[in-house]
Amino acid sequence: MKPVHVIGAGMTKFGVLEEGILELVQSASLQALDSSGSRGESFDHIFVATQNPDEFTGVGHLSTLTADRLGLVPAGATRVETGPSSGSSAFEAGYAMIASGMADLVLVVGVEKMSEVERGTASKILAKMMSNENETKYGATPTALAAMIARRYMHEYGLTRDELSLIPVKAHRNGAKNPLAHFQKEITVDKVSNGRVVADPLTLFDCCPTSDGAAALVLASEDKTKQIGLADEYVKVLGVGHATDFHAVQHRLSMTSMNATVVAAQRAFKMAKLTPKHVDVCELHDAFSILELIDMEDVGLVERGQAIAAVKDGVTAVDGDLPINTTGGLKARGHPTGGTGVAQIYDIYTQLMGIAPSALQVDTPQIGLTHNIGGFGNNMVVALFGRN
Amino acid sequence: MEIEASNCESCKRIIVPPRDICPYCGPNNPMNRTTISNEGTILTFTSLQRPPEGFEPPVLLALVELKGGATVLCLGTRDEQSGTSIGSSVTLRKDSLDRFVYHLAK
Repeated sequence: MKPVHVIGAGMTKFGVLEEGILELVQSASLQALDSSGSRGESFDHIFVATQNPDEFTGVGHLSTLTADRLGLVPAGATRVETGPSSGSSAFEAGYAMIASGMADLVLVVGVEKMSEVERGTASKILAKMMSNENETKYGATPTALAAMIARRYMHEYGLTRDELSLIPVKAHRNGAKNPLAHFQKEITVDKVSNGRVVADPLTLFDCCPTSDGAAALVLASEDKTKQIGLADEYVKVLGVGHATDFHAVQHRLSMTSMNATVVAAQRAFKMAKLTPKHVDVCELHDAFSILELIDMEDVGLVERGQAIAAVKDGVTAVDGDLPINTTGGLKARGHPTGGTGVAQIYDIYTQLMGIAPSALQVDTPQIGLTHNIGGFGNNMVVALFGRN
Repeated sequence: MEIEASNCESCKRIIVPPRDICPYCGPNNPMNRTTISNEGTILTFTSLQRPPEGFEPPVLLALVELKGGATVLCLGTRDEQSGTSIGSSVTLRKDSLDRFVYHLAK
């Protein structure tokens, strides 16, 4: 396969925003074009990641709409949907198109505009990614499933409520220093542990918000990178892995591990010829606090049951040996579902380029990893990136 | 009450609800219809305080591992809330909407 570079990235603020979905797409995309010096270039293809704009906003057919809005007609344009991993899946499609030689310059944009509907309606729209027959018709939500996983993990590994609270506390500590984050205020263990219960043992502060926001990437072949005139201002894509698990939680083989992450990570590391020991900075999908711990174990960053020990030792803090979710993760950066996977890559791009917010910049990381969950734990993408 | 299930000839796993294709082994392996006991054990549970539109909180949910081998999501009634814990023995029935409901074994 041919080398693929991330030559530019852009991201809007995440949160409850005034801008409509197309304005968000335009804003993130133009930032990505400007950061790569590719305004005026002819794009071969656009991949738009979005989970359900039709129901969240009433706007559909975002593929052609994006090409037209950005003045990139006649670029090919495709909408990609794998639930909340849509962003990473769109990146994967763009990667494959360049790696295969079919394209030289691709725009990937991920977006969701979720605040135009009531929270209960948003919950109902999001629940469509779960099994209707086995989950949704029982009233289960992603939070309910995460709560059952958290209780089982606590039972098997002795994790306490206050220990689990360290994850959202870290997320908010980082988010407070990220000007693009949905939440920019620190919280305490006490506030998380004693917050309003959503589904016991999880409280409101264990759960990521629903957000508005967009992020975009410009991907280029080696030739195109040179032609645009970029000497070394890019990040290399080293590996991509993608895997599914059984749709309903009840059919999975473990309640405290997500096999799609295990397989996706193995595929990404194999392709990159790297191991988890090589990773310097990570963005993991922490839609619920418990998932960050399980993700760490499933990606292979720590042994089973050992994730919380690493968190307590400060290993996953910005100044630790393995910083995780330096920009606040889904919990504090926010979670516009289709936008998240692209935002994770934006964050790793800024880390590897050395242009992250100064309080969040890790000391010269060489290898970055993104991990994005789709469905409730059933459609995962892991990607590895290298500093040039 | 017995629970409708299917049994894969290849991996021997029991699937509830029954399927024509084994999700674990793929379409090249015969599945047979069977029934299993409605007795099982609670693997994990939660009480959902913020359910989606159309449900009244709290919604008590549990994943139950049946003696026959399959795991199923079940609803609990308010009566079960205080006595439910991991490892509790339960029996299942179906409600009017064809959903599994668990009851703690006496």
